[in-house]
Amino acid sequence: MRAIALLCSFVVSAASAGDVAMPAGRFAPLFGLDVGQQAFPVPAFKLDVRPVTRADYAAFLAQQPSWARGKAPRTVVDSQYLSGFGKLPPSAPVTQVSYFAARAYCAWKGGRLPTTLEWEYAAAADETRADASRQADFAERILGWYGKPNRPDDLLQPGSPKNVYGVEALHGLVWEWTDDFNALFVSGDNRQDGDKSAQFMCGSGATGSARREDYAAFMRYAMRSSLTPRSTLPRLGFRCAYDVKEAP
Amino acid sequence: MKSLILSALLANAAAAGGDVKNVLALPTSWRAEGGAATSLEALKGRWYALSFIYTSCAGSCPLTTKKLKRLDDTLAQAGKPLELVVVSLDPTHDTPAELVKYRDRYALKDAARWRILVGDDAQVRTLTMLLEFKYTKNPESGVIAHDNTVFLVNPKGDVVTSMSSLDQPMEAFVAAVPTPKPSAPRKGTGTKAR
Repeated sequence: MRAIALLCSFVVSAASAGDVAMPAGRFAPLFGLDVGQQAFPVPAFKLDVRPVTRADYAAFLAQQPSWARGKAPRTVVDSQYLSGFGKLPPSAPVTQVSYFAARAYCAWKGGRLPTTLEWEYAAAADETRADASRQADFAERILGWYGKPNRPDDLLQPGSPKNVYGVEALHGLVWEWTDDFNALFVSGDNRQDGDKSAQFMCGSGATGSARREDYAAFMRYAMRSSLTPRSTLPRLGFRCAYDVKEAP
Repeated sequence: MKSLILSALLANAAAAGGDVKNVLALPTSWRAEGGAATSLEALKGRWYALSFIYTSCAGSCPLTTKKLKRLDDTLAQAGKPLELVVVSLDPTHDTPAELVKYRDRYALKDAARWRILVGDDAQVRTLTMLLEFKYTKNPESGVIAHDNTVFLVNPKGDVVTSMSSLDQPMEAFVAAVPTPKPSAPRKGTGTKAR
């Protein structure tokens, strides 16, 4: 058993795509800015190059067996946790993992989940532009993926190519957990919910956002807000982020 | 022995019944108002109300605090006093000195049933996620947008019911708090050493 775990960790370290340094910057997320605010500061951090794979996750389970399917309690995962885990090759991204499980994995790796701001900041870049989110061709490519019917080999695809930061597959492979995925005060049509924020009244959700043209980001925020921290989905995975020590 | 097995089976059945919100499902660590380390495990075995505020909050938190005070009074009058656990959403700002000011501002100086917990951001995120309580901090203005919910937690850490700390009546919440049995030792009802 120990030998298997050792072998696993060897294979993982050999195959892992590692992480890259994300420079500090400023970014205007689709939601969250107050009136008059142009962007939020994003401190420097590190981000995994690719989503966590099944091989990576198997190494975690070998060391943290309390997160095994059937062992992790229903207070932290739903009934579909890790279903179909072994049906795809070890190189495929791990899916059917809850927020709590993803967070435990990243903590085990010495990291954490990226915040939604960090994730969107990294995902706004393409191969040549740091923020392509307002560019029609960029949005079209992403929406093309969102609109594509699911196929069995979807999780074996490479995903979006290395962006200017060196991060891959932020689009075109899996949806990804973020540390504050639910931190959006969206609640259906607020006229029904008695919610006071006109930002989310049907139709005005788009006009109240920072970038009306970034419909792809709107889809991601909608997707995240549909989840609970126990949710697991066949095409929902994650990658980890890491704090960097501030320069003295 | 038989009853032990039965209760274990029942516990499993409850867990299989769907999403369960339990504040002890993942460990979290906190500091009490004076700065001493504490945990929610320490409250295991008692009923308590759990809510979230931050002391510099000018929006809904004053209303939450006032609602908790009314809840405290109502429960005491009904003969079922309850501990009120208030967790800070702003650990960097809510220092022990700020918490003293908060107690002063709301005339909570001698409110022995209240305990205010401060953790770090990761602890707050873990606990709020276990409760599906939403909050987000604007990194520039420091303003925290957040839900307004008071949770009733049972001795096992399960959330039994909850209410809005703003406009929802508290009758159902009060009714869900059990009356302490006269013979049982009155755990957690104002015996906190200060």
